[in-house]
Amino acid sequence: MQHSTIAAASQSSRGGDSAESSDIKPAKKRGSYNCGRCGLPKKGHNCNVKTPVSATPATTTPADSSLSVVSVPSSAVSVIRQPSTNLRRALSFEGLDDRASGLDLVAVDDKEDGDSFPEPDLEPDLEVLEVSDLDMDFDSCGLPSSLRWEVLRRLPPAGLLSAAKVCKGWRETARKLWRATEELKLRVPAKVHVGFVASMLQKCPGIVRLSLRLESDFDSTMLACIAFSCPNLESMEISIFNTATNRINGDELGRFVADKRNLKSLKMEGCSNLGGFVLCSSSLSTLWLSDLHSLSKMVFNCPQLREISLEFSCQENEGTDLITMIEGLGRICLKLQNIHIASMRLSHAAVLALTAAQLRGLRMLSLVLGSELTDASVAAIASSYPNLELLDLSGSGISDSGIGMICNVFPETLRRLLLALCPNVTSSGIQFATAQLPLLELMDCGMAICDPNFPDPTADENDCKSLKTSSANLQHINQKLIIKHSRLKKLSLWGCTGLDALYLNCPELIDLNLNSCRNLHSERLLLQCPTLQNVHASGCQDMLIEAIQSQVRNAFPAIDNHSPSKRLPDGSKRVRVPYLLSGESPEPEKKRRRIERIPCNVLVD
Amino acid sequence: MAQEASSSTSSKTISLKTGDGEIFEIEASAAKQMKTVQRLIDDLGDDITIPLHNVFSKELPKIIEYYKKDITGEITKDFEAEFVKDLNDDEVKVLFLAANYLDANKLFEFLSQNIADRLESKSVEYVRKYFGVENDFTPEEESKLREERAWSFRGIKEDE
Repeated sequence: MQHSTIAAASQSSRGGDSAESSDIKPAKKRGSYNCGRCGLPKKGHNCNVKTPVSATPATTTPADSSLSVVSVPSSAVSVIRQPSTNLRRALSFEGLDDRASGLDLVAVDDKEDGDSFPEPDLEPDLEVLEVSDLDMDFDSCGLPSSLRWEVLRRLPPAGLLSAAKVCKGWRETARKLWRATEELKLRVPAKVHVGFVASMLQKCPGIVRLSLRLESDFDSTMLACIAFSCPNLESMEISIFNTATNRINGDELGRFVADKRNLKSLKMEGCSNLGGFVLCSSSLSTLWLSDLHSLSKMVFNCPQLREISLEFSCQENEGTDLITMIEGLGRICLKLQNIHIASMRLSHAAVLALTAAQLRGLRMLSLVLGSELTDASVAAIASSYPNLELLDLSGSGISDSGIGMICNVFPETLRRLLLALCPNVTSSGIQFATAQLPLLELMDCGMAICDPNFPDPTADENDCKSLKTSSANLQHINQKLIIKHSRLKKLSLWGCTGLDALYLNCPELIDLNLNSCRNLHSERLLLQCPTLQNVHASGCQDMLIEAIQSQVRNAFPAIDNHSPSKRLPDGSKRVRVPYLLSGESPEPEKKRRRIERIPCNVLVD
Repeated sequence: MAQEASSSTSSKTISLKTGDGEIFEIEASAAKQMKTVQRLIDDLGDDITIPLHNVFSKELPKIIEYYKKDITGEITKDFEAEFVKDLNDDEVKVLFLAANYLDANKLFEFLSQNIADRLESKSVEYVRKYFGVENDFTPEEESKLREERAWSFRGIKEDE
């Protein structure tokens, strides 16, 4: 079924976490309490740890820099369609395009720390740092200590570990850097012993934010290690890749959460072994769990919870009782502002449980994959929570009347509306929404107007089945959309194979997704969107792609793209890469032009 | 005469004299970016040639080039990449130290990053030579450090 693709997307989003290291007093050295090999406490401990291993040199391989492709393989789900990522992104507080930062870190990398390291004089503990005082005292370490710090702090952790080998002075500087580290993002390759992680964590007792990208299993030993080594932990993110398994069970998780008094944010993937849990925390404010499967019990005793995201697996035997869980949420977590639940078992009863709760602060509601949800559910939501800023009912059975209800209730607050994979929505519904919701900034109508004769190629499943085969199908071909909206920034019409004409007049539109709009006619496309930066057109007809290119080019008459290369006054030659080949936005460097335009990319990959 | 300068800083040029006696001209607005120079201007006035004992004629032009680009607001990643492309490691180091001396923040940060990037792939011995550092570890300390690092980056290593 279609939902698998949506579920996939939600794995990945990480808002751009800007790392900050700051003034953290170095933790008291524990000295002989810890086993030297694996870092766990010596007491009652039999260390059979061999010298731990890791295979990777730390070279950062940046993730795709273009926004269009995010490939985050997750064991349980099928191919991710890029547009689906909107679902998750839209939910996060971060700006809609903040994807790149989190996933770039393939290697152990706390480089971010260095970047925002505060001015030395805010750090009384580290007396070596007086960059303002021009310390040109070249001690035996080759560089004055202040300069040493500046260079070392810009090294990735692997480099820092090596730098410590240069001489004692460097080792000392490296040590101070570790101790000052507040955020650590680690990639843990397969077959690496927990000792590796343990040892890294031991170096940075001041860790506040920890992010582990695991390619080896995540088990209770590692969790205990984190619990032990990171007393100040406020945010933890565990992502699971390749064939790694998250073996944590509910009790272990519950204990961890209860013990970490400062934990504000917890994000964990691959939670298929939880079984059932009770989470008690007075500090937790953000919780993301994915790949949940058949939980016997889900209790959230977290009164400070602001944001919750629960993604359930799409396997047939997934049988978690959502209603009880939601009732519990509604009783205790009264400060919830953002809710995201992805489950095939979402039902009207579950929605009623939600609407019965008094979640006065609810602003973002995302209930996806619930094919049983209908306009009745929309009515319930609209009447209980009239101030929503984001509503995502992708994969549901909502129809144009549901959209009508949405437009009735939410015009003054709704900024993001996502209705991807809603088979009962037609182009009139979409058009109505764009006309009636003046604050709309993001609209996702992926696969909403699907020509039943053209099953979407990226789904290996039976897309046709999902469409109700009736005369309603006639509404799904030769559809036309005319959208004029003054604030819309992102519009996604991916997979709308029933669309054959599109007229867009959106002065603030930045991103347009037309992937797989196979039947969109090149002569029936009009884009009047001067701020457009990205148009995704993979799977479209060549003529359409050309039409798009010429339209966006014509929108920017100021940009000189006739000369493929230019000799500049200083003798160097700059060659402009044609749009079609460039996967990246050209630098917005043409400041000398009076009209500043960022050229638009047409992404076809 | 110092007052004159403050009213027309945009067009005024400052004379800088390097440690090896050569004189270079820069715009006053570029000079502002080099805090050391600015401090000297404040103390000595801007009509006098500012002496820079620790900066030499080899590196100063490059620094001036950087800041010329900076005042027009045109420093981009491309420009920075070009800027360091033909410099060998020693030249970068000299520039780095000069930028530090001149307290030229933007250039300093850029060069620190560049040096860090260059060092990332180099061996410890190279780094020592590069900065003229003496290895003051005892053999025991060295082997302990090596062990710690070994498991990180090279693969399975058996216990001794």
